[in-house]
Formats: sequence, C-alpha cells, structure tokens
Amino acid sequence: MPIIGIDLGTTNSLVSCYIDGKCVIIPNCLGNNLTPSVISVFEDGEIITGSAAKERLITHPQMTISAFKRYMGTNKTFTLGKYTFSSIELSAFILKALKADAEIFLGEKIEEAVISVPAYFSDQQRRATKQAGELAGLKVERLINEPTAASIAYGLHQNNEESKFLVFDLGGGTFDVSVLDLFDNLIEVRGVAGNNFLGGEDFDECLMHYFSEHFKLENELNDLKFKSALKKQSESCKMALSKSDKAEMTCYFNGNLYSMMISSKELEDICHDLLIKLKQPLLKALRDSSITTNDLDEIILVGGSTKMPLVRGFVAKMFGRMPLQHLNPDEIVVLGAGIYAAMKERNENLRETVLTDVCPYTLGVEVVSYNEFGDMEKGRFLPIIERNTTIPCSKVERLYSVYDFQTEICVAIYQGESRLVSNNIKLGEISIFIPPEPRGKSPIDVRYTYDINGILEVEVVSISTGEKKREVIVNSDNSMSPEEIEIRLKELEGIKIHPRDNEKNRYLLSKGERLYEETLSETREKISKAIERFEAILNRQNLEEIKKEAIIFEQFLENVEKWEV
Amino acid sequence: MGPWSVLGIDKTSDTREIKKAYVKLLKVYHPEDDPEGFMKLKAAYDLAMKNAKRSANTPESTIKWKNPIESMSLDIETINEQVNIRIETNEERNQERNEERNIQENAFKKLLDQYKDFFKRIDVKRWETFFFNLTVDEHQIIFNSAPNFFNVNCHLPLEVWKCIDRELFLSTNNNFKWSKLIEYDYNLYYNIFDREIACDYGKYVALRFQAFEAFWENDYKKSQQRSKIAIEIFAKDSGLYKILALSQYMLGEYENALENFSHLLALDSCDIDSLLYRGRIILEKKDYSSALSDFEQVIKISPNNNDAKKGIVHALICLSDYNKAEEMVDKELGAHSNDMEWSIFKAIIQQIKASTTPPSYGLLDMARLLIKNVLEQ
Repeated sequence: MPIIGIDLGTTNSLVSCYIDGKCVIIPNCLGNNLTPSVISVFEDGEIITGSAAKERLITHPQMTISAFKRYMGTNKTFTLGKYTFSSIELSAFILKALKADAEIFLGEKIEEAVISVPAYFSDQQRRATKQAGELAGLKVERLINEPTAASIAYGLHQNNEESKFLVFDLGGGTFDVSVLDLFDNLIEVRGVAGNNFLGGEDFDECLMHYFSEHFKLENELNDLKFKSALKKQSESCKMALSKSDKAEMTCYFNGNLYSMMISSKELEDICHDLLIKLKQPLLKALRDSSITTNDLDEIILVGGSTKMPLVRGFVAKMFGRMPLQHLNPDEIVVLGAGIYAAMKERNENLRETVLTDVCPYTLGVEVVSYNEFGDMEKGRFLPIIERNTTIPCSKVERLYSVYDFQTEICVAIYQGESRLVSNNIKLGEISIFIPPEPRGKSPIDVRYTYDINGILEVEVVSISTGEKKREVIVNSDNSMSPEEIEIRLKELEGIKIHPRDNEKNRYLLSKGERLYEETLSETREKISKAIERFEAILNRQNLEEIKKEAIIFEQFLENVEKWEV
Repeated sequence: MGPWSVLGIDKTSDTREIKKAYVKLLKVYHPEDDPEGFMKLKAAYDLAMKNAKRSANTPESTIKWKNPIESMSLDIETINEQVNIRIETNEERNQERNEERNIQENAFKKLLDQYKDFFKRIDVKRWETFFFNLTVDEHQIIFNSAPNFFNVNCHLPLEVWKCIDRELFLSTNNNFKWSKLIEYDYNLYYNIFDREIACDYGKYVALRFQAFEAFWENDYKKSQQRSKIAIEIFAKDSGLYKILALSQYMLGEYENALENFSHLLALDSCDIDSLLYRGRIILEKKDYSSALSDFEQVIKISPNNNDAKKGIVHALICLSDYNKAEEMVDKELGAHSNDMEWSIFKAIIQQIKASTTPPSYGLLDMARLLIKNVLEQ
C-alpha cells in the first residue's frame, strides 16, 4: 500500500505518489493538479470542497470558508450554516477529498500520508495538522517541512552531488526560508526562518484595501458579499500583473461599476511593507546556518506567490542574481512530499538518501537570575535547545532551587526567542518535589528531547531523590485526546459529502452562479438561461446527455469569463 | 570516546573527509531508526568540524573605524583609509578577494552616504529605505562591523536607534557601547533643527554628545565647557540647556544654574527637573516661600514626586511651619514606614518642637545640612 505525499496549502492543496521511480502528481476529479483549499456547505447540509466551493466564496460567502490553515493550532471555530468546525476539521475535509482522488487514481486503498507543513510551524500547529490527517482517516507518522520537501525534489532533480542552496517559499499564507546543504546523498537542513502570517493572501488584502480606499468604499467591506467579490478581483488583478505591466480591477456594488487601472509600480508601492517583512527571515536563516551568499549554488523559489515578478525581483535584488526558474513553484513541494513518503518506506531507489532537519524555534525554561547588583530578576528565559539545532536532539540543563527550604520546583516550558518569557509562548509545565535545603542546594536536571517529528518531550529529575517526571508537551487548550478524536470522527461521518461523481457538474453550476452575480443585463440573462437548461438536463439523469451538455456549458462559462459573450 | 574514533577516521583538518565519514555512518545510525546513535554521531561530527575549522587558520577580515564621520571629508580613499581590510597575497584568491573588497567598499559607501548627510541621518524613513535597499551581502557586512561603526558614529535620534537595532541587533551586542541610548530617552532632541538655517548641526550634536557623556561620567567641568561651546553654534536646544544647568548646579555655580533653569522654565513652565533644581537653589538662597511654590508646582504636575514632597517639608521647616511639615511627614511615613529619609525628617521636627526656646540658628543650620544631604543622596 503506497504512502501518499500531501501539500496542504493555505490557498491550494495537492497530492502525489511515488510510482516506478518517479513522483507523480495526482489530478482531482476536475482533472486539475491544484485543489483549492476551500470548503462550502449547501442549503441541505451537504459539504463540497475544492473548485466548486471556491466559486461559492462569491455567491455564498456566509456558507463558505477559505484560508483556514492560518488558524491551525488555535481555538478559533468557523460557523457554516448549521455546522461549527475547527480549522483541524476543515483541513480534514480537504485531506479526505485528496485521499479519495488518490484512491481512484491508484486503484487501491490509501491509509497513510506524509503531509508537508511550513518550516516555521510551531509544535501546536504540527499537532493540529496530524490530527486533521487522523480525522480524514489517514495515518500521519511523518510531517515534512515544505522547503525541505522542495529541496528534496530539487536535490534529486539535479545531478550535482554537492550543492548548497536557499529555498524561498512564499505560499498563500505562510513564508519560509530554508538553507540546505546537499552532500553525497545527505540532505542537511542548516537553518530555517519565516513568518506564519505572510503570504499571497496578504498581497490580495493590500490591493483590496487600496481599491476600497480609492473609491471610499471602506465601510462597504463590512458587507461580506462585497468583500469576497472584491477579494477575488484583487487576486485576479495580482495574477494579471504577473503577466503584464498594467491590469484593470473592477467591481460592482449597489448597481455601480467601480474600475481602476493598476500598474506594477503601484503594486510595488502598495505592497512595500510586505516586501520589508520578507527580508528579516532571509538574513536570519543565512546567519543561523553560517553559510554566506557566496557559498550558495542556487536560490529556489517555491510557492505560488513567487510567480509574482515583484517577489522575483525582490529576491534577485537581495542576492544580486536571478533565482532558479525552471521548476513549477506550485508543484515542487508536493513532489518532495511524495518522494519523502517513498523514502520513509525505504523505497529501493531512495534507500541511500538521508535527510536531517532542524527545529525552527528555541525551546527553553523560565528561570530566575541574579543581575550584577545581586538583585533577583524573574521571568528570564533560559534556552535549552537553540533554534536551528539538528533533530533529533536531546539536551540537559541543571537548575537549582531559588529560595531557602523550597520544597517544589515548577519547570515552565517555553518556546521563543525573547530573553523574557512573557514574550515567548508557554507550552506547559512540570512540578517536582525536592528536599528542603538552603537555596541553590537542591539540583534538578531538565532534559529536552526533540524527536524527528518535531515533538518535544521534557524530563525532570530531582537529583537528590531520584524522582523522575516525564511529559510529552501537549498544549491542552486545543489538542484533542484520542477519545475525543474518535467521537468527533463519528460525528463527522454523519455529515454528507457531496458525491464525487457529481462534483464537476456542481462546480459548473457554482461557477455559473458566481458569473451571474459578477455580470449585468444581457450577459446575466444568458447565464441564467444556460444554468436553467443545465439543471433541467441534470434532472433527466441521462448520463450521456449530461456529459455532452457539461462540455458545452463549461465552454460557455469560459467565454463569459473572458468577456466574449 | 573522542570524536575521531566515533567517526572512524584519524584526526584531520580536512572538513570534506570528516563530512564523508559522517555521511557514511549516517546509514548505520539513521536518524529515523536510531535517534540515540544519531545524536552521538552528530555530536562527534560537530566537534570534529569545530576542531578542523579552528586548526585551519581562517583569518576574518578585521574592520576598524578609527574616527567619527563628522570631521572627515568623504570619498572612497577615506573609506580605504578608514577600513583596514586584510589583503591576501595568495594569487588564486586574489580575484575573489577583490570582489569581496568591492562589495565591502560599496556597502560602506552606502552607509557613509546615509550617515554623513545630517538631515538624512536623523530621518528614520531614510534609514528604513537604506536598510531595505541593502543586498543580503551588504547587510551582512554592515552587521559585522556595526558595533565598531556606531561606537564612534553615535549621534542619532532615539527612533533611528530603534530602527537600527531592529536591523542589526546592536542592543544585545557586547561590543556596542551605547545600548543605553537605545533603551532610554535622554532628551537628546533631533526634531529642533531647521534645514533652512545654515549651521554645522553635525558638529553641534557631536559637542552636545560630549557634554552629555561627560555629565554621565560626573566630569561636570568638562560638560559645562562643552555645553558652552555647543550653545554658541546652536542656542535653541532645551536639552542642552538642561545639561549645562545641571552641570553648573553640580559645580555649585548656583547663580548661573539659576539663570539657566529659569530660562528653561520660560520655554516650558512644566519642566519638572528645572522646577526641582530651581527650588533647591532658591532654598539655598533662603527664599523659602518661592522655593515652596516651585515644589508645589511639581506636585501639581506629578502628585507622587517624592523629591518635591521632601523639598516642601524642607521649606516648611525653614518657614517655621512645623505642624504642617509634621502632618505631611506623618502621612508619608504611614505609606512608607521603612523610608529612612522620612524618619529623619520626623526626628528633626520633633527635636525642634521639643525645645521650648525658638530653635537656635545653629540647630536649624544643622538640620538643614542633614536634610540637604538626604535630598542629594
């Protein structure tokens, strides 16, 4: 039974499998490699994912949700009609759809997957991703960092036995930089840095606000329908500006047509603050990995947002040379995830390749320290495992009691880079009893072990009593117990998923409805007629006829989109 | 077990050989199957690499900024003079070195351009643009020599320091002298300069900084002298007047200090420092009711100012209003019973009140001396 590779993206998701010495991207039921990471609920409670759902972002924004990856690992819930879902559950629907696509394509049951996550994802976000897999009926033993996946695909793609390269990964919602060193079948991640809240969606937002400010429509953005329509227009405009120097952005609102031309230069000015944010992680990753730009053989662009000339230009300017262009930035991550899945199985073609990765954040403990004047300073952060340490790794630190005759030490576990714990994220705590002694006399050993999946285990030993306490760090707020997963799994099974066979027709109807809303007068009339006709054909349930009519209807809609009707 | 025996090779400084041995053993101690074994191997590998790199003599280029920018004319020659770059004679590396040298020169030229123009230098927006436009290499070069450069070229507004710190992490760098300039606001104003008025602002801020530095090192003579020279260049800076007045106060030149504090208060009647110090000087001059009004003014602006409260008590005692003074002292002692200074005040007042005859001049004088000591500690 093959293990599939999945790129669960903010905007789009993909699935791949390693077959006969090669990694293949599996198309969805519409024949596309990219499945939009969008979920929509119909009036009857049925759920649909992918392209059809994406069309419904415009026509039914209350019932549709996208970009939920941004909330992985948080408690945020989303209400769609009668349902309330967490981002884990929404991700599970996408994973289910991808799993179904793979099962049909491969003709066998799939039970296991490797899922890629942003390198800069935290422990909680990684756990959430694994749980989404479980809810979708997939065993997810291994997560792989997206830039690492990209470099596997790139590393095996080229023939050099030795090279060092930087992966610049700007996706729909996340930004990662990784520096890698390829040497004699070893792929070594030397350093990662990033920003979990920076991606293509932010460029769309900038354009959207620019447009609404220009026409003084800021208050109208509270209208969800207008907002989603304008967001889509922003995305189209951004994409058009990847192909030409000028693009038009238009939007209907309350019967008025608003339209403006936007140039590449304007886009650059509008998005200047986003470009500034791209720079720090670049510098940090290089510094942490002690590799200079001279040592770098290539700069690899990954993620759909790197198709923007603006971003490419920025990278070229930063390094004084052009980044590598010949790999498809949308597909390289899923290819790497698929190869890695095969590596995990120790596929014979890949047996020789070894990958070592790093932990993205510094992990440490809260301590009290004394400054040069002998004053006690509370809330200091003592790093135990520093960021960009190769994993698996294990480090131990000896700590002492602070007060005379203290009987208990509470070890508070933090993740982050600030010297004050208040600026870092608390992951958990372990308390241990110690024999009462003068301060500084009762030692404990705190051992942090970070395993290959990026999961932290903390062990605390009281030296004088020999008592040991060990805990796998789970942030209790948003993690589910196995029992809870079981219960939720049953609940989700009760929800009807739109039948896959009919998904294409559903997509066409949703697209028709979206185009109806976006157009006016005669075109509208024509779309309305075409939708009615297609619905009537569907009702007659003649499969041959439906197939034929679907092709005609699809062609018609495409022409409308190109303004040719 | 040493790293070499773990790696199964003889001690060497050849990093490639070490890496080869490591990769070979990775298949045995695979990170997936044998995390413990892998961690041991990795530790040995890291140690061996560190060893090899230490023994292979790799000199870092040392860059030293000798002088601050203010006094120099600026062109590439001075950069070369300023920047002491080690030049390798090795033929093969010459070209590479030259290229590196060019990048370095370019980076420094950009930095100097940004710093030498006074109004560019004090404009945080220009610094943001400057950093954004640096390439990764240039940024790294400037990062490496930032402590040296900014140790001598340190006349920048607080907001610019904050911006530089975000980019170059100076405040946590042990080689950087002026972390306190980034952390605290010392009222070294930069928003007071007018581009239209011809004036050597660069020289002015350098002098002002010297005065500031001397003041912090308790060299009040020097800070007074530098302030006076600076004022001749530019006279509209209340921050500098304060340094001057405080220096004079510390030197006991009360008349001059009084004049300068009054000047500052004419510019800003709510300046707490000036009110406090003027109050103290007036106390010295035995004009108790004027001093009282200065201290009371401070309390109006900042109701919990302890220095002002003590000044008021001091003035009240001198005005023989013992009951009011004691009432105030009791109130403060109620809130901070451990405060030594308030306890001393209390004792003094009780002493004075206990004597049946009016306080002899000697006692009052002694009390005043005591209080003065308390105030100035």
